[in-house]
Amino acid sequence: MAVLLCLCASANAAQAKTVRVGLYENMPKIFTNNKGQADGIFIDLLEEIARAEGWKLIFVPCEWEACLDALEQGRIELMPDMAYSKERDQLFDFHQIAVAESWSQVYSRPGMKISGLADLDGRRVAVLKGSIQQKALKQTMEGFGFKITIAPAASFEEAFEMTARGSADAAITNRFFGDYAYQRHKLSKTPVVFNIVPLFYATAQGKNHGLLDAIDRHLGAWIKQPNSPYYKTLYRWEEKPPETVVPRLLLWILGAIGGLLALAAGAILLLRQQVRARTVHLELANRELEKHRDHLEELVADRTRELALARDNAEAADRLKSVFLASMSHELRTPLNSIIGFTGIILMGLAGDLNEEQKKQLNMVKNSASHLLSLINDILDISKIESGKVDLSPEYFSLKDVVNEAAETVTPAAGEKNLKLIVEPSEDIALYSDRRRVKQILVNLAGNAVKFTERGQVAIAAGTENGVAAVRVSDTGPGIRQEDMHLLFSPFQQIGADVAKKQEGTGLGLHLCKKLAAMLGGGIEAQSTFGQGSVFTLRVPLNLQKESAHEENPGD
Amino acid sequence: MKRILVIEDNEQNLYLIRFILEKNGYAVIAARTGMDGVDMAAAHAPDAILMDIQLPDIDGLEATKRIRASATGRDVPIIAITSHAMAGDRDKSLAAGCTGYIEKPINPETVMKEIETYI
Repeated sequence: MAVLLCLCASANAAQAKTVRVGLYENMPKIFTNNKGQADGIFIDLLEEIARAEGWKLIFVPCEWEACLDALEQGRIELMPDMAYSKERDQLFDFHQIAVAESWSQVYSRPGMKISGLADLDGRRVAVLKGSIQQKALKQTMEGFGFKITIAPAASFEEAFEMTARGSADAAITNRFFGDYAYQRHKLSKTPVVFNIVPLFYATAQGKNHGLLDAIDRHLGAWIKQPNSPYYKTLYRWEEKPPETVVPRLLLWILGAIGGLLALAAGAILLLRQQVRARTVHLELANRELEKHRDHLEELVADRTRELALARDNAEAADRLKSVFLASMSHELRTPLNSIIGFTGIILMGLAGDLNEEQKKQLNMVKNSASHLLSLINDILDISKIESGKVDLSPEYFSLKDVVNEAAETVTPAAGEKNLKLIVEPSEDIALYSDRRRVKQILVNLAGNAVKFTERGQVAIAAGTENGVAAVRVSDTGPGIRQEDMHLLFSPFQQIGADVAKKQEGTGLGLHLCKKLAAMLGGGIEAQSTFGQGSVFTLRVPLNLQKESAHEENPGD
Repeated sequence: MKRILVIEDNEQNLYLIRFILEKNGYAVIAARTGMDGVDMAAAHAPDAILMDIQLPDIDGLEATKRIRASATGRDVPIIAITSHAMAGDRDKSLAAGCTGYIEKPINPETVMKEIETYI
């Protein structure tokens, strides 16, 4: 200190224009940039001063320790970025106005909670080998009675790399480097700082005081001007300049207080930064969330549109099918009706007499046409039922009447085969159902019974069973084998029928009956003993509306 | 001789019905559309009307309603010709004012009996 203050008088007027400057790597304070040029806070400031003073700067790259040797031995005149210490004061001279303050700051692996020195106890900490941080850390930790393992690093960069890959829990660097680089290494900045030191340019002891004076002169002037090269440089290399640069004398007086303040400032700075980072993070997350929400809404809207379209298409197809069914029904039946009608006329002899062969052949035409018409009607009935297009017309009617009508329909056929057709006497039952459908089923069952029975009888019995109407059609026909029973209600399956019988039915009758019965809320059951006869039982609810309409025909 | 108006757009059906009716001693006048049928019902005061349900302009139900709404058509028997497969047509035709119905396909052996129950 004494040397620093009083030896200025011997400032050499013939100061060398050429100044050799030690250049070591300590980004962002002093380093070689990617163009191979000297760069950093200390270099910027020095170049500014050199321009004003007419110095020619020659940068001499060296390792830190080698730089100090070179300075001591006169191979360089000036060494930037020298932290003041009592030991160094013995070897070097410093100017008065500190360029900046530095402190050591702890950066940790993410997820490690380090909020005080105590949290470093037992940890492995990477520090620059031989650095002031290493010494200060050791002293500080030992002072508190904490133990740490030092992981020596060849550079701050390496210290950060070691921490990033987990071979150290934390790294300690000066705050210039740390703040500059910790995000790049994805480390966390801890609030732990210590060893606040002022930084200077230094010369060898007793040499080149003119350099130091000039530096003080410029720094002193710059510090008073807000837009001076000093602040611009700090602004360039830091996000913001340090609050103030305290004159060195005051610093020593206010050492302890300053330390605390700096500590607090560091903590506040860190907190602010954390808040800022968290805010940015939250905003980002929020934006991301909004994006997702918008996207989701878009997706939902898209899907809704697609579904609506699909539904419209399905409805359109459904309508088309209904229209097709109705018109096909009409178009196919109209010519058939003509065929049946005209063969009927001719067969009646209304258009003139026919010989027997002609009658026989015309009867074949008529029967084929009638068969085709039944087929078409059955197919249309089934497709209507399957597409839910059958409108049931429920009404009150007498089951006895319908049974009699069905019996009458098959009476001629039974008579032809000399079969006894019996309608068993029963009480009358009032049904609320679709009269025409019930009759259609009964005619079909009775017709089948007559068709397949060669001798004996067909009996129809109506009654109630457990609150539902039941009509039993039994015959003394050939019966059905047990193994064929499961085929009974399948379309186009004519069980045990010979070729001639096959000609008579559509193969759809029982299939349709079963569907119709289900539509009416009931069902058909078949029992048979092979060789003895069969019993088909139709069961339908007494009241269609109440018991089944809502299930079987919801659109009705 | 009783006169029957047949309203039917299908020529073959019309021919068939006309043939049967004439063979059975009726006079037949014919209309091919619902509107013509309504006009002819008013102009000729037939003894009975056979009405197809599916017609090219107004259908048989609408034509029946219009005939029933006119002074001359209030009491004339109108017999709908419905399709066996179109179950709903029978109820609708009766609701529209028809006296009765015969079903297609027309059975020449039985159709006269059915018609004569209504006239």
